[in-house]
Amino acid sequence: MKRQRRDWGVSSARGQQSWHALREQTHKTPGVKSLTVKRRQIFLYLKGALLGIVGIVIIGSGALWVGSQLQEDRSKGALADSKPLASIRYKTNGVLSHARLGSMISVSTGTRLIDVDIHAIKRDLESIGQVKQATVERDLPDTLRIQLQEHKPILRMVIENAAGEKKLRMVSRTGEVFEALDQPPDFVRTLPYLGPFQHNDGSYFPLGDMEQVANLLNTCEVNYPNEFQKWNVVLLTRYRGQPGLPGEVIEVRTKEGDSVERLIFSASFDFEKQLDRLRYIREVSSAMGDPLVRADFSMNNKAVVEFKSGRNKLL
Amino acid sequence: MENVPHNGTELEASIRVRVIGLGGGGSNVLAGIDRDRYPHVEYLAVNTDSQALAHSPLTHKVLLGQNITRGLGAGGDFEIGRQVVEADRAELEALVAEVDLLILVTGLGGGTGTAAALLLAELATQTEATVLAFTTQPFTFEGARRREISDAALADLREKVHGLIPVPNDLLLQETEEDDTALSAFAVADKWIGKGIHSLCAMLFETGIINQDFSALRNLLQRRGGKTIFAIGAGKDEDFVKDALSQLCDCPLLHATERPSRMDRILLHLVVGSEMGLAKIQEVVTSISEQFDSSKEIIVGAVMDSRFAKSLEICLIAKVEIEPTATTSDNAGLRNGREPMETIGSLGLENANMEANPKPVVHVSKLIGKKKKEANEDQDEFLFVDLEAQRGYFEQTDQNLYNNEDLDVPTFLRRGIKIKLK
Amino acid sequence: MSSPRIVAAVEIGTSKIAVLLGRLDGSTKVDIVGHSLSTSKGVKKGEIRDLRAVSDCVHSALSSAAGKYHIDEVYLALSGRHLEGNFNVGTATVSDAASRVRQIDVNQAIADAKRRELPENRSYIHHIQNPFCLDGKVVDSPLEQQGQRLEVGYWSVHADTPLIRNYLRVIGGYGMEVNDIVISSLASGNILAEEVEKDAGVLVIDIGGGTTDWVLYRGGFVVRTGVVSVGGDHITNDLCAGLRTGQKRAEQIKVEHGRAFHDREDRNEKIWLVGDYTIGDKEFPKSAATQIIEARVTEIFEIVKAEIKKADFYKVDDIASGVILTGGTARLEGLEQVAERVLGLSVRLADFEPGLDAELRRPEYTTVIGVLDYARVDQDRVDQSNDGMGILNGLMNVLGIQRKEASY
Repeated sequence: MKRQRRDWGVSSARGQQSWHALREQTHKTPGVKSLTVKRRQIFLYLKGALLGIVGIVIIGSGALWVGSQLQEDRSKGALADSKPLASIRYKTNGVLSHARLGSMISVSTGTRLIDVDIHAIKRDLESIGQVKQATVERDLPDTLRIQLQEHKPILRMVIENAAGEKKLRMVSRTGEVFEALDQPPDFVRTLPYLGPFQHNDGSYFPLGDMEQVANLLNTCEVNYPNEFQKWNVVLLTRYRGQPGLPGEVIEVRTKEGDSVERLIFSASFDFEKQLDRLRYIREVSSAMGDPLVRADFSMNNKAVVEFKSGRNKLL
Repeated sequence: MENVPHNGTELEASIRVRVIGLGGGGSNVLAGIDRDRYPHVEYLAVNTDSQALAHSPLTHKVLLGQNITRGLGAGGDFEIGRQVVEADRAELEALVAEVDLLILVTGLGGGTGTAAALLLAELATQTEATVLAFTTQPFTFEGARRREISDAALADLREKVHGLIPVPNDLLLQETEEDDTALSAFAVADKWIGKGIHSLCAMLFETGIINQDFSALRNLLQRRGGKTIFAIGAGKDEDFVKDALSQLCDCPLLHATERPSRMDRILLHLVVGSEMGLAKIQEVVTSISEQFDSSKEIIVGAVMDSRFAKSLEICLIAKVEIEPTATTSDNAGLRNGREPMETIGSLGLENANMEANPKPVVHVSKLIGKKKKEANEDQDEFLFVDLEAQRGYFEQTDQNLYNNEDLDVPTFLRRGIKIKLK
Repeated sequence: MSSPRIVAAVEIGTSKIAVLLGRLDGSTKVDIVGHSLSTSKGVKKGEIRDLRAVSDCVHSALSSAAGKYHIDEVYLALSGRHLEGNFNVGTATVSDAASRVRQIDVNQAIADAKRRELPENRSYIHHIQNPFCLDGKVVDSPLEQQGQRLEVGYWSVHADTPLIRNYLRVIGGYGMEVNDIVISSLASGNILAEEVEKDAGVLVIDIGGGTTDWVLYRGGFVVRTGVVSVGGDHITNDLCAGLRTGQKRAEQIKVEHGRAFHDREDRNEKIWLVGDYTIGDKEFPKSAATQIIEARVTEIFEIVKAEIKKADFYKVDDIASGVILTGGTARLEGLEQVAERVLGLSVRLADFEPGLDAELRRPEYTTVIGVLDYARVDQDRVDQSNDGMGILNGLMNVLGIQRKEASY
């Protein structure tokens, strides 16, 4: 060590996120804290709790006050202007029909608008699986306004209940499973079936976020509508809903006549690129006259392709 | 003895040998074997693909999973394979019954072959049969997933059979000619596995200079688990001894696994031409002994093939019961058995007629709360039940992935660089 | 300054455990008073797998190196694929009315650079400071300079927490605490590269048994470090598979006949596989071995190059002093040529410290020598500060910068 050396220009990381913090942890017997630490913690805890209580009391009383003021105003004005309910104005971003709606909510014309229980209506509407959110407003003097946000189906699945009854259900982008109401049959027929991911405890629900799946389907539908028509099943057996992680793949099964192809997409890489590669693979496949059996895009850059003849190719 | 390979002794009739080719890969291997040479050996093909099965030249065929895959095959999907074999458990059970030596041949990493091998091996643990398995492992280019499935299956299978001889396709590619495709590597696998089976049969069914029979093999393999070393080599004409030894050392079946430094038991079987005397046989045995584990006595069997003067065929089987390097951590993280999806795997095929009248896909009643049935405590480490958890484990520790390539696999194999040893 | 301390520098490698015992008396001098090099067990690719096996090996290595000395402190070299880093830039707006940088601004920039939250189960090992920039210009010491916006970059290296815990447990089992941890690449790099080389830009690559550790210096600063979990053991393993021979013989062939690159002539040169010329032995062309090694070695350098490219530091002019190769695999014939071809930089093999004990002139000791040197520098810090809090630590860095110009 005779060479003249300057400082390292390196510093050992310290503080909370550094390994030094681990040393402190391993150093002290786990679970046994010193008395002073305990005391300090108790003190901090009490202080926090006290502040919290004070805060809740202040906020709560404020809210009560404001609430009571509003109640007063509203009842005064409403009582004066309210007439019997004459019309229900209805808007939705989805497909639920007005008629369906009528059968779903219990309100009869003739009731004074002010007597209509808008909260009950909202509750009723929101109990419909397809409805994401309902806004119900009185539009004085005689109109009820209902606005709906609906879940849009991206996939369908068939489930069987304990009694052995089979039901067709829709799956939304956010992973909600609901009964299809007023969905045009032609549209439902275009939806691929879902094979969900199975959780560690063996259950399938909740389904989890379908965002990435929706992106894949959408990318395909928009850019390669003909391709999308063939897509029959989306299998999430190996998709935990964490696209960043390696090994997260979304499998698509196509169906044309009797032949079923397996397309394995990486949930992590760019879908457009994967789909473009698929387009290319289809070209190669038809040029060779060798039908596609399986295309695996889970490796970056190259897809492992299996053809009917048994030939494997990297494309 | 006469130049007829089998001579109908009592011995021959008393040993029941059944060779089962599983899935597409396994069935293909058997198709390429000369099955008439040892007529008492029963060859069977088991598959989910009815078409492939129909084309198979074997006389005994078993089609699995007609209710699930409708004869269309598992498509290389392990989950489907698993459902299929579970559904046809009874048929498979019959295959392992009343047999002394069961030889399973399969390609790992796919659907039917992998799942059927695991189940058959498990069923065979209930019988007296000695079980040998020849397996091929997928190419690196076939993707990480197949390899993961294959690796896990291999580990599982190893515990259940008496002898396991793995053959990675990557390695076989080395055996092929310069411009061959991956497909020719399969052909190479077929050739070597076929030769291996023949060598075993020669030992069991032919009598000659130094007789070894089934009890020697059974004694060698004894327990399930451990590591099996298997190699064959053959030479003819001028340098037949040298060629046979050299082929033995190059045998891809031998190099699939890391060779352990010590072997518990070694069995050597030679088929020699008429020109080879006992002295020469002794020389060969000594040479092999030095190359493998000279500290162990080698059990030697030899028969003469008087059709040839200068000819030598060597078959070496050795067993290591406990691997000294086995670490306890290797099985960590492979717990949490869970029931696989009941019918979901068959989606692609069931949906064929779903359009008009949707059929059930997910049986919710079955999906929730169903526990692994009658857990067989001893063999409960059925690796596949939690492939996801397993993959996580491999990624953290065992696999060394960089840009999706496993860096622990030799670079020249991954890049397909042919190494010429001659 | 203070009474001499006995410091043990420990590297728990995949194939070897190296321990170096040094006496630090507060001066720039380090007396090496003990050393040991033993076979490692329970470590794979630089990471602890079997805690008990590792503990046994390390404890006996420590004991044998210590001899009659009592170890006061333990410093640990760390490697493994689990090491990762991120580069963060901290900024501060100069608060002084006269736009002169004050200590508070420096502290703020530093704190800003270090604030990035790590995911669960990761712990920082180093925060390596890069130059300060004042309004976009690099400045040696920003204090008292005129400017508006102060920036500082940090290359922060973090590790897998459970693994670190294991290391602490191993040393803890010996009744010692780990004083500090240094990543192997830094330890080797700092000791092997001359200051002028660090200024001109230099890449130090240490190819060990299970891992390849590298560090890139530019403008006197450590700008990147990295670990490729491939080492000399992989070459041996590849030879086993390719030549169809056992581990021992493969290692022998690597050492005796191995060359990092393949030559056309190798086809004609024969090597005996077993080496005893007996009946089962046979010849194979040397090209088989060299092709296998070349594929592996090339890949190692390709990965290092790709990593540097990814960080956007692959500019030949900025690595003017080229590459220094070290580690056990550096003994492989022709390694420099392959490195040169793949990396496109001039390459030299590491030389040893002048005056170094003959016994210590082995590449396996390079890292621990570096770790001891780190401990030597670290003692100054320990003397000047006895607290490890973030801000103070930042201040230490500033002191470090200023000290840089001072002689020592």
